[in-house]
This record gives sequence, structure tokens and C-alpha cells, in this order.
Amino acid sequence: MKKLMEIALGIVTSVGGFLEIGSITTAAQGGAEFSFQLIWAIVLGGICIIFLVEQSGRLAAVSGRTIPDAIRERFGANYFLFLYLILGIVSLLVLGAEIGGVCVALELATGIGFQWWAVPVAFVIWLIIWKGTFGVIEKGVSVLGLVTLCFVVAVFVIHPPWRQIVAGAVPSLPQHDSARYWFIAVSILGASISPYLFFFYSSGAIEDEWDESYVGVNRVIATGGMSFGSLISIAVLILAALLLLSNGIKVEHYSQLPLLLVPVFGRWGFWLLVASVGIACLGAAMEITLEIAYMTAQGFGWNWSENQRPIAEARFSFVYTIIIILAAIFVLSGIDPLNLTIFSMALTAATLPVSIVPFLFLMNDSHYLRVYRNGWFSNTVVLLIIGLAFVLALVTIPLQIFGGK
Amino acid sequence: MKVNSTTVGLLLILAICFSVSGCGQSDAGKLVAEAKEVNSWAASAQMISNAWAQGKVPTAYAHRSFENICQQLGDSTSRMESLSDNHRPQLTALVQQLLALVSQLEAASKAQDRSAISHIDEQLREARATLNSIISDASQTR
Repeated sequence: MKKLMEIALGIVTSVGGFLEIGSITTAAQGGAEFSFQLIWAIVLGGICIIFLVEQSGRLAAVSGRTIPDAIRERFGANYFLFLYLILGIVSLLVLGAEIGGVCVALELATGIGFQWWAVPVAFVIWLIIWKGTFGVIEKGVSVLGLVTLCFVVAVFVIHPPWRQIVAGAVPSLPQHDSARYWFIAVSILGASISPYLFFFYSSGAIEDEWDESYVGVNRVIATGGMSFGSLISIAVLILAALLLLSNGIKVEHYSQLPLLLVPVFGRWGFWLLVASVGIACLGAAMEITLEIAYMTAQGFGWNWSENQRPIAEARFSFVYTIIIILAAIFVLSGIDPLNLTIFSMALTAATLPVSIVPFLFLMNDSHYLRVYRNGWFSNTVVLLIIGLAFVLALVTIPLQIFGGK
Repeated sequence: MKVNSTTVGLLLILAICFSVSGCGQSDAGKLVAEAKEVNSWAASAQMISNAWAQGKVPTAYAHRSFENICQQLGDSTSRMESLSDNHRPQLTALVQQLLALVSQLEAASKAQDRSAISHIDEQLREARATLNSIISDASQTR
């Protein structure tokens, strides 16, 4: 019974924590410019993230180690530092985008410019991490994040053409603007296969004291949570296709986002959108902040746990404090949050091989996983994901130049 | 001749990059892209103004959105002026007209005058219809 409760809670938190500014904007752009044609990119990204999250949870549950821990041990300090640098920069940009997302939600609600919210939002994020425990962040904010299910409800309210939606799950070539089509596809994949998700997940498994008995629970949570989470992204894309594309509207500014829900729910739609963007980005911002702090502490062998008092791990607390300040500076500088989001999603896609390649080695190492090593099927999938990651890394920059804005 | 599979893979990726990037757009193509963007902003203004008139979105949001759309339309005008195409003078004049209409929306939202919306909305609809016919005309002739 206890395990069933944990599974239910795990799926709920994964669903609530799935959506963030990257998945909202890339899905909305995809729907508004190419109708249902890019649904396949969300499905593909969803499948990839299910496998990566499941494997990172299994590694943590069986070996008692997080991914950064195992990477440093297995590949040495030099590779870890390389990964840390790349992932640190990308995560910092994504964190800036998420803080920007919370600020945008506040701008939509109040009319006060988003830059003005950078410092208060950064302070609130810092305060919750400083005062809160892992449970508060993982469960509290993620449960609030269930408000994002309003996108799914809206889809059912407007009775979409289901046949065309199902057809969109099959990859097809664009009829116009090829470079733009592929750029959005890459950005959607970058938003879905976010390394911070599986790095954070493995640290969370240690914080929640998972052991071998959680291997099955982990599989169900990873599959259920990420699948339902992807459905929310698909819902955003469908709404954009039906409500924005039909009016000739492309998503070029965050002020256009309320148009996804206002036509369906009226005044409630506006506030649901504000709440969805605000809470989803707040949750993601806290997860990314902790992910960078976890990676730093785990890589350098410091004490780390969000469940300890900050005084017990001064260096861990110092890292997340600095990270939040640096990310807030991006928003304060006035960089358009939408452009920062799209850029950071593309950069995430470009750097994926660095964080995904080690999986193949770690998940086949009997020293860490004993009898829980990857089978042929999981290895084939990881190899395909690595292949995809390399293709993304190679095409992202040209596409950013020719298909980005 | 023996060809290594890695080489084939790299060539394939390069081919994808080049095929999707194309060889750059002509002025006519850029003008059509710009006109579509203008249409997107005008449509956004229309949807937001209708929602505001019905009390579905707050005044502060509507006002800031109109401010932003004015700025975007102004930027589009400047970019269009650097392009040389037969349709440019007609399009630039139309964007100026749209800019004036969105400015009226901005002023109406500032004054909380919801009654002004229906009149402006009608003019916006007409201007967008003209814009769409120019876009389809320009798309065919490019």
C-alpha cells in the first residue's frame, strides 16, 4: 500500500513538474506555425526522457550514487569537470529562462515589467530552498504544478480533430519554411530531453532514500510521469494549432500566450495561464538551482542534502545562492525571456551527447548495477538516443542561424 | 571505392544542414515573411482587444500588449523600408495604418474606454483582409 501511494505521488509530482517555460513556448511555436505536424517531436522527446529518467533512478536506487557521482568515479575528474562546465553553463541559461518565465507570469498579472520582478522572484526561490526540505520542493510545488492540466482540459473542451492529431505523431516533411520547422523540432527535443531532469531525478532518489526495492516503483513513476507530462506539452501544441494558427498568429512574444486559454475559458483562462506559467517555471527554477548545486557538491565530494540545515552544508548552500544571483542577472539585464528560452533549449540540444554518452557505460557496469544492468533493449534505445543527440548537436547551430529568429 | 560509414553519416548531416538552410532569401521573400509577421501582430491585437472588450483579460495586460505590438509594428516598418520590391510601398502604408489602429487601442485601454473597441476592430479586420490579399499576391509573383 505504501509503495502504491509512493507511485501515485511520484507520478503526480512528475506530471506537475514536467512543464516549464521551454516546453510551453516550443510546443506553442510548433503548433502555431506547423499545426499538428510537430507532435512527433514531443512524442520522440518523451520516449527518450522516459528511458533516461528510468535509468538515472535505477542507478541511484541500486548503487546509492547519483549520476555526477558515478561519472566522476568512472570517467575521472577531467571528464567530470568538462561535463560540469558544459552542463553548468547550459543549466544557468535555462535557469535564467525559468526565472524569466516566473517574471513574465507576474508581468501578465500586474502589467509591471518583467525585469522588476527578477530580484523578488530570485529571493523567493532562494528562501524556499533555504528554508524548505526536499519534500516541500519535490511534492509541494509539483502538486501545485498540476494546474498545468488545464491545457489538457481545454483540448477536450474545444473538440479537436483527433485523426489529424494522431497523424501528427508520425514524422513528416514540412510543406513550407523547412529550416524553421527543423529548428522548432530541435528546440522541442531540447526542451523535452533536459539533462537537468534526469540529474535532478537521481539526486531526488538519494534524498528519498531509495534502495533496490524501488527499481519497479522507479520504472512506473518514470514511465507514467513522463508520459503524462508529454501529453500536457502536446495539449499546448494542439491549442496553439487550433486557436493561433487559424488566426495567423505566430508565438513571438510571451504576451501572446494567454490567447491559448482565454478563448476556451474566458477570464478564468487568463488566470489559469498565468498560474500555469508561474508555478511551472517556479518549480523548474528550483529544480535546476538544486541540480547545479547537487552536481557541484557531488562532483567535488562536499556534503549535500536539501533535507539538512544550510549550516550543515555551507558550500552547498553557497553554490545555490550564487547560482540564483547569476541567473537573475540575465533577467535583470532585460534579455527577452522568450528569446533566452529558445536559445537555451537549442543549446541544450547541442550539448546533449556530453551528458548522455556516459549512460551507456554506467548502465552496463556491474560494479554499480549488479543484476540490474541494462538489457539489449535498453542498450539499443540508449544507443539510438546517443545517435539522435549527436545529430542534434551537429544541426542545432546551422538551424539556429537559418531557422531561429 | 570503399566509403567509410562515418563519412557517409557526416555527409548526410551536412546535406541536411545545407538543404534546410537554403541559399538566403530574396527581397520579395523577406517582404512576404515580414508581412506575415505583421499579420500575426495585427491578429494578436484583434484577439486581445476583443477579449478586453468582453472583460476576459485585465486592462494592464491589454495595455502592455498593445504597447508591445506598436513597437513590433514600428520595427517591421523600418525593416521593410530597407527592402526593394514592387509591393513594398503598398505594404508599408498598410503597416502604418495598422500601427495607427493599434495606437488607438492602446489609448482606449489607457482610458478604459471599451466602447471604442468595436469601431477599431472593424477597421483592423478590413486592414488585415487587404494585407492578406497583398501577401497572397506577393507570394505568387515572387
